[in-house]
Amino acid sequence: MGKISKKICLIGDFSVGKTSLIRRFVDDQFSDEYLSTVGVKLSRKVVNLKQGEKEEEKLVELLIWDIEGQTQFKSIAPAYLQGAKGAIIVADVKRQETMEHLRDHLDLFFKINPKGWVIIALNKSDLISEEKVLQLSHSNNQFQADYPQVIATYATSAKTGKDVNDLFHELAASMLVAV
Amino acid sequence: MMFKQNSTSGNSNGNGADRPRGSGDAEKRTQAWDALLDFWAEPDREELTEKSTEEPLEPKKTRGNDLKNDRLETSEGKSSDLAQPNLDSELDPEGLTLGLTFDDLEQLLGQTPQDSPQFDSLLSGDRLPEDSEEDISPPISTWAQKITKFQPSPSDRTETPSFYDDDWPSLVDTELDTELDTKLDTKLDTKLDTKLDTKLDTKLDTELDTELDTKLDTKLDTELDTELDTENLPALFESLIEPAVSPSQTPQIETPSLVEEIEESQTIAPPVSSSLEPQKTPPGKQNSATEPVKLDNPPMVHSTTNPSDTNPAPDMPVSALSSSSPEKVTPQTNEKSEKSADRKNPPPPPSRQSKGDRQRQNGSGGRKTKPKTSSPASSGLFKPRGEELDDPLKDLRDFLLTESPKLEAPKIPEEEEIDIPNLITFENSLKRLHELEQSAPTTAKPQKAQTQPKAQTQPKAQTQPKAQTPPKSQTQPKAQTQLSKTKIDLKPMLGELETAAKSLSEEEMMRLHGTIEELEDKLSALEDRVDEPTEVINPLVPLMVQLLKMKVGVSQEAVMEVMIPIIDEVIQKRTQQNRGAMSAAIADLIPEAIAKEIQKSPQEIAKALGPEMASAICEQIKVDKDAISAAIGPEMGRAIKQQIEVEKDAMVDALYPVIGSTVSKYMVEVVSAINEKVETTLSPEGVIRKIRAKLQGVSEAELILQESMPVTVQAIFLIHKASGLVISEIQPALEQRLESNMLAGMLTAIRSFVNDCIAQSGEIAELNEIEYGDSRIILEVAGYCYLAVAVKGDPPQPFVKHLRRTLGQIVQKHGREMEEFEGDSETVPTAIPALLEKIIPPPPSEKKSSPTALLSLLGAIVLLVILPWGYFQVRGYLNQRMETRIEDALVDLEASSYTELEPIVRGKKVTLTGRVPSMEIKNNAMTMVQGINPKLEVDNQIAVVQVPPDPAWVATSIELVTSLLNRERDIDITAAYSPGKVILRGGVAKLEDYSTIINAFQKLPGIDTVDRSQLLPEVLQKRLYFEEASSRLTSEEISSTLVPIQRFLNEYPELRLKIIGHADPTGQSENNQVLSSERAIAVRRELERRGIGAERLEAISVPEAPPDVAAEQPLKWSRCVRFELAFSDE
Repeated sequence: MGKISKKICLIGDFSVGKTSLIRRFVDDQFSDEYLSTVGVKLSRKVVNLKQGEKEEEKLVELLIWDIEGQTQFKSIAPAYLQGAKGAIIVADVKRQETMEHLRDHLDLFFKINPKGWVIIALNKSDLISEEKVLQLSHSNNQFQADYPQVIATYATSAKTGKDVNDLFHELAASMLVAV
Repeated sequence: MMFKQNSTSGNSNGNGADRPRGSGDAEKRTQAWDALLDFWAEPDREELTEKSTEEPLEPKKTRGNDLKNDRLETSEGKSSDLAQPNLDSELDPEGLTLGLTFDDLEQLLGQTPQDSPQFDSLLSGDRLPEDSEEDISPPISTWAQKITKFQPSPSDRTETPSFYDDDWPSLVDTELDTELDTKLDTKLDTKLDTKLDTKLDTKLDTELDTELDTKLDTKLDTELDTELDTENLPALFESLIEPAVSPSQTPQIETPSLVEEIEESQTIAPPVSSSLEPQKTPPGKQNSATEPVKLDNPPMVHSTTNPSDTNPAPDMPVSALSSSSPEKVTPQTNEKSEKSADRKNPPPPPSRQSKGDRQRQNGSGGRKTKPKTSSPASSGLFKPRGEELDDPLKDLRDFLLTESPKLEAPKIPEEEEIDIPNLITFENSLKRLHELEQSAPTTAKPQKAQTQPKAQTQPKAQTQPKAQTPPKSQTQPKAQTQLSKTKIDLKPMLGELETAAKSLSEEEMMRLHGTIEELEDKLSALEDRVDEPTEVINPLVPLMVQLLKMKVGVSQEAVMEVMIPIIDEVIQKRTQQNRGAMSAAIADLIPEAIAKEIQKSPQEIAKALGPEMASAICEQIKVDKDAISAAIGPEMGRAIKQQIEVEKDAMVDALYPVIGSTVSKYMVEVVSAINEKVETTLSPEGVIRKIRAKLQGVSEAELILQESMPVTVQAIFLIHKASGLVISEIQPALEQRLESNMLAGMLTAIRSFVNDCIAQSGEIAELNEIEYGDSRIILEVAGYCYLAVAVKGDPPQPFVKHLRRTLGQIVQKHGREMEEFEGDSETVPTAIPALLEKIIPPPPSEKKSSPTALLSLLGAIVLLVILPWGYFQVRGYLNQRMETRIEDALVDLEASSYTELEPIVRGKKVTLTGRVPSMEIKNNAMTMVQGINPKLEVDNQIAVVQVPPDPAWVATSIELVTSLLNRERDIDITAAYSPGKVILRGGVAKLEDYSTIINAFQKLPGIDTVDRSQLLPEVLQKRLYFEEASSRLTSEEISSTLVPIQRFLNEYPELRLKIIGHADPTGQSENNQVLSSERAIAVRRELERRGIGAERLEAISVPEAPPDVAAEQPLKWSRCVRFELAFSDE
């Protein structure tokens, strides 16, 4: 069986926890320090999508592009998004404006990759109450309606690791299916 | 001035009751003043005034300073001069203080008789009957108490040494000494003083010693002052009192020496102490650092508690005590007694001097101490001063007993300031007392009487102590010495006393006894009275510092000994209580101390600091990262240099992993590569390189360097341009595999970044190469993919071209797959890896034309040259040897050969050359060679040569032969001879003879050819002649000549005939040719017609005359045809 590699991007405003999500997923680590990503940071992880005993091993090598967050003064460089089969668009539940920007990021991504898959991660969910989390993810479900290629919306926490692995696995699984 | 103000304020503030009394009883005061004037000695007054007026009267002070030793005289002189005016002028301030004092005095006078009769009797001895004395004497004790009580302010907590350098006892002592007229008095006084002193001092000292600790503590801990004082001092004083009380319990003693009494008192104290102890201990326990010392160290406590059972026997306890008491105790008591002795012993001058000191210090030192004297304890002690003594003391005692933790700190300063004048007044009043004693001679007697028993018992008393001391002496040598000292002092006095005693009547003795008893009663009473702790404490308080000081001066070791065990604890405690203060106190010293210690024992310091050095540096690095590096940095270079100098190998080892493995390795590689190149300088490659260098205009070295860094392809990636995913990769088996997708992604990101950020807008620029060190990544970009090749070294141009070509092929053939690549490696055409594989240049073949190969080649060449040469040399040598041998063998034949016979040997082949006359010799030579070595192959090229015979001899032989032949009938011939040839002419009749003739001549030596053409048979000798220019035969000639020829030819059919036509030389040569030819043909035709075969006839034309016809002969002879026989051999 040949190796399958997929490029996925993490998009979002600055300091929403893109790098932390990747760090949690790839190294299963978390740090409170904030280190701003400059340009692009690449990570790689092989995901086994085998489900159940009987199924054949399905290895997907994810090449995760941790793209510099969007700031007031600097938008995301579209070149970095090219060729991405999937994207995780991240927002910070504690910062309303980051969630408002989700739509912009979605538009940007689909403009470059019309056949890409997207999962929305509402990060730092450990900082708010569960009800609030539910409420938020519910309110963000509209994206799934508007964009058929938005697979899901997760309330994640890089700190606790909540839903991080599921998020990546689901995206990886989706990417193997052509749009 | 200060005193005045302070005193007044002190009165008003510190003691409200005091003040009204002081001011209100002005009359009383003046009365007292008058009384004082009466009784007071001048010097004392002067002193008072001097003290009180010290500030305004500077000169006096200085004078006091200057005239320490002559203080008495000067003070007296001064008093006469200045005392009065001073008094007047300073009356107000003085008056107030003095008044106060005297109020007290009077009060005491009123009270003391009941309260403290002992002192009266003790001090004034027999003066009791006298009212005036009686009035005054009691106060002495109380004054003494009061003085001390009111002095504490400085003594309590002042370190100022000078002020109380000589505390009042000594002062009084000396004053009394000097001022008493009678020696008796003096002695009495001194005795009394000594007793009192020793008693008080010893006790005080012991207490003070303990107190010293407290003092130290209090000094250390200024904050604790109040607490300590209030809590501890009372307790201390209580403990002090214990011994003082003790005498009361020894009433039965018959004429006991005072010394004994004192000692007893030390022993008998216990009840009180034991009763007090519980109270003391709690604070002691609480404050283990400071107070326990007090409790433990005071010998009194121990000594008293132990012998408490042995009270009844006054003498015994001492010994018992001294012997039984812990050794720890004894030294201290020793010291105390010693101290008291010391104090007593010094003769007047020193005391005077000290007085001067005190005087001087009263002004300066006293003032200095003012601020420091602020203890509630002292204030508590002072309180009673103005009031009834009992009440405050009781209060105090109550307070002490109830352990009320703290006293309200009263307005100390004022009170303390009052103290100084008070002190003075009290001192003065004391002196006055002595004066009173002086003035009353009667008092002297009772004293004498009093002392008489003592004197009687004195030896005993002296011996007693001694007797007692032996046990003591073991433990209390100093006490002994003290006693002896007092003894010595007393000796002269004793002598006098004895004389006086002798003069005393028995009645007097009795009376004395009575008096003594009374005295004792009073003493005990007084001691009972003194039982009140504060009463005793108060007088002791001011002494403490002095005592301490003295103690220190006298026996530093003892003090040290006392302090040593606790000093660390003291510091510790203090540190616990207030770190800041303690560190502030010590901080100053620390740098200096460390510097000292470093100077003293650097090793120790190093040892102490060593273990923490590293962590200290770490800590500093934490605090300030740059500081350490900035500190060490500049020295780093030198340090390394030094280390290299010291131990080069260590440095090399340390750096080797870094430098050794990189630089040296790299350099070795490069150098070896260069070496290789240099080695092949003369190789075709080298030549080509030289030509290339010339053509490209670069140095050859550069080319060599370029070549010596070989190009190795580390990896080839075909990367999807948009996603950065690897489509295909080739990684030769190198030690390190690159993470292909990561690298590809990063490259893609960099490409994007460069395109976005660096390339000018509107321009399409590409990243072509990334260089890192000696490696680089070459990027060749196509439409949907690009090729990234990681190369080590500088890739040559053909390589890059090949790269581009390959990419072109891939894009051309598989463009569609490239475009649609989505990360699945299965979708990649298999042709692509194969194409990529081809990019990698074959590893350069290891053509190591090592110098050995070159050498072997050279060797081979040399061998090739040398071996044949050697071979030939050897062979030549062998041949030559063989030749020589053959030559030697052939020498025999040389005589018979024309030339030397030369053998040429070529291995087995021998060629012989030379000329020999005969075959026989030739064959002989061959045989000889083969005789030498039968295996030799002989090529015999020896020529057999005939030497031409001598022509003359040949001619002769020809003539001889011709003549011999001519003898025959049918033969007529002539023979002409030319060298090698014989021409025969003539004719023979018979053809048989013909061959005989020729054979004969042919056999002759030297004749090669025999010309027989002119030797013809007769028939053929005839010629046919023709007419001029005609070839027609005449019939006669035919019949005469041709017919015989015809018959001859028929006869010898084997013969052939040559027909030779001639012509005369006239006419044209062509015509002659034709004529001669026609003439020969005509003859041949005629003969053929006559039946002769044409094949036997040969027509030859010679267009000239026949050879035997000369030119001058007739032309007709030339126009002929002649015949010759044709021989088949010709």
